[in-house]
Amino acid sequence: MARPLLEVQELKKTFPARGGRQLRAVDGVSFTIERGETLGLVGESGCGKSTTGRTIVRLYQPSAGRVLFDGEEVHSLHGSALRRFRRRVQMIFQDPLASLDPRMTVGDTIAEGMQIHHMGTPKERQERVQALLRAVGLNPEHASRFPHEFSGGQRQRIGIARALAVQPELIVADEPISALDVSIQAQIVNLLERLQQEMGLTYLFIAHDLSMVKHISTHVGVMYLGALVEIAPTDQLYSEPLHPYTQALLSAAPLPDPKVTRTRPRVVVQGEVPSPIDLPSGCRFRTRCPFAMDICSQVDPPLIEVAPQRQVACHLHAARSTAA
Amino acid sequence: MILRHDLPPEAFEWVGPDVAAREAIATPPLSYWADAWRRFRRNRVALGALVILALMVLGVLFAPYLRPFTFDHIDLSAHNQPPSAQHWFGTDRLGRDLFVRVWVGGRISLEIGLIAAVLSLAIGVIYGGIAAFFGGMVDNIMMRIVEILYGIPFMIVVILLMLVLGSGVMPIVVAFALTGWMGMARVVRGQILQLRNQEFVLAAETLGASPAALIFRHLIPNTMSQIIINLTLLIPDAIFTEAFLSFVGLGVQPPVASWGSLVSEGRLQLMQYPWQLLFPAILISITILAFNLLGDGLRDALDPRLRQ
Repeated sequence: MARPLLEVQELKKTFPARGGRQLRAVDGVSFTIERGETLGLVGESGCGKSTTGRTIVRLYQPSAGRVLFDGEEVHSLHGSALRRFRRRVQMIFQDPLASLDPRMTVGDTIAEGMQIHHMGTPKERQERVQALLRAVGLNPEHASRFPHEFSGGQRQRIGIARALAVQPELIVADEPISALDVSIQAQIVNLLERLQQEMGLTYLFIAHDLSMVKHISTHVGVMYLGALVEIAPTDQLYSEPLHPYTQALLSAAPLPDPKVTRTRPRVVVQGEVPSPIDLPSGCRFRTRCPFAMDICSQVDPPLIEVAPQRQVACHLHAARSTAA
Repeated sequence: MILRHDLPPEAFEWVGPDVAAREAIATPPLSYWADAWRRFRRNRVALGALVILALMVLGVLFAPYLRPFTFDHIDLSAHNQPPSAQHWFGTDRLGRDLFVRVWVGGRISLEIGLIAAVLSLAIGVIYGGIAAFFGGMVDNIMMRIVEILYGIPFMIVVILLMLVLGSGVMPIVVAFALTGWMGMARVVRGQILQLRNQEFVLAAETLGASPAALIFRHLIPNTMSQIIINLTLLIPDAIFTEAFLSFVGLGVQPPVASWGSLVSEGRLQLMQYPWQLLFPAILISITILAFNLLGDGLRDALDPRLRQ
């Protein structure tokens, strides 16, 4: 098999906190994304999923670990190799208004990347802006307008057009639909899916809700307090979640059928998320886990492969390890 | 009356959702500045202030030529005249025409105000911009320096500088620029720090924009409204400083006049000839008031969130 498009190895990112302590935002995350696939990265606020995304696109320097994009180490790139990386990897942001410069027209915003990478003449760029606006379902005449004149869904489509303008291969979408109405969310997900098929894009799709990524992802990774606790192909993760945290997340997601909702077993998580400055000993989820055992407070369970393509970090499943 | 069930299904026609209409925007395109101007125009007080300032500029440029005198023409036979058809604002103790002197003096005052404010703006924007953009240690050291400078009484610095540099227009400008930039530096730093982590700046960085492109395409344009508002408040500050320095004798020297030196001269004969102080004092007050009202109006127009 060809090398994966994106490979994240033991990525760590700490931020300095008060009193000389360290906030461990991302604490040893590893995963790979194959070309053309979509990895959905899910977790509650503050679990480090956005930090992971921003480190991958090199907005942050990692504290440890490596990110390989198409076999090249992202954080040691410079000069023309860095420029190439900047073109091949793009990001879509959460807040559709904050991610657009309020003083620039939509056309200028979309053309900015092409200008930076010297793609085409000004006239060609203008034509491409029009084509991109059409591709994301906006009126090409809107190129001369300003971001504040658009609705949330329209703004997010402008952000998508900006990312697409430089013909990227990987798009890191950082909660692209969380700030939108439910009716608009489907519209954006469908648009992203269509664009993926047309342009052969690879996505890292970050969300805080499992129901948001189910439709679009080929694989789903669940993060808790800076670590990946489970990663699996989408169908398997939803039909047979292994980690207690995944089970809790799934049983908290609303289902369209109230009968099913009433009768399904629920995994209830107690308490609050511990502080990422002061992580619990052993397994980071044990303070809230309904199945916590003695070993959980002593040994941090590694992410192990329990079935082909299925990895989980939990002592409950240590016996199932394919390696053991 | 036609009830709903009277209508056969064929009477209905599927029109479908009108996608084009859903995406249409009714209002004409409006740039940030056009929108700000629209808001500004509605503010009568600020608009009035702008008109007054425009008249003031026209006044200092052209009013002196309305009268057949020069600002340093001495006529001892007509000293200390009250306002008359010959001398509209009267004359001073050397018989110089006050109408001409007030407007010529306004030139110096406005000139000093503008140049000094623009200079301190330039220093402040560059200093604050560098501190915020590079952040961390650089920012820490640069802002501590500002805080230390803030602690030194402003007037002492100005007076000491004037003693070293001598009196006159340039020393006033330099003295003000060297002391007036700190507020601007803080404003610009605060704005850029706030903008630096905004998603649109991160988006530009992800697109591969260089630091210079980030600063000049995204950060400075988005700080412009704050800079302009601050400028309109710096100008009256500079004018006032000049007036004060001239009043205590550190400013421009005779026969050159400024509003401050005219007030200073008028004060000597306040009991006998009050108009000698009155006219320049009124012009200073109107100008400073107009700049402050304009600044308030601009703040409301450029940054509607700040309105109380």
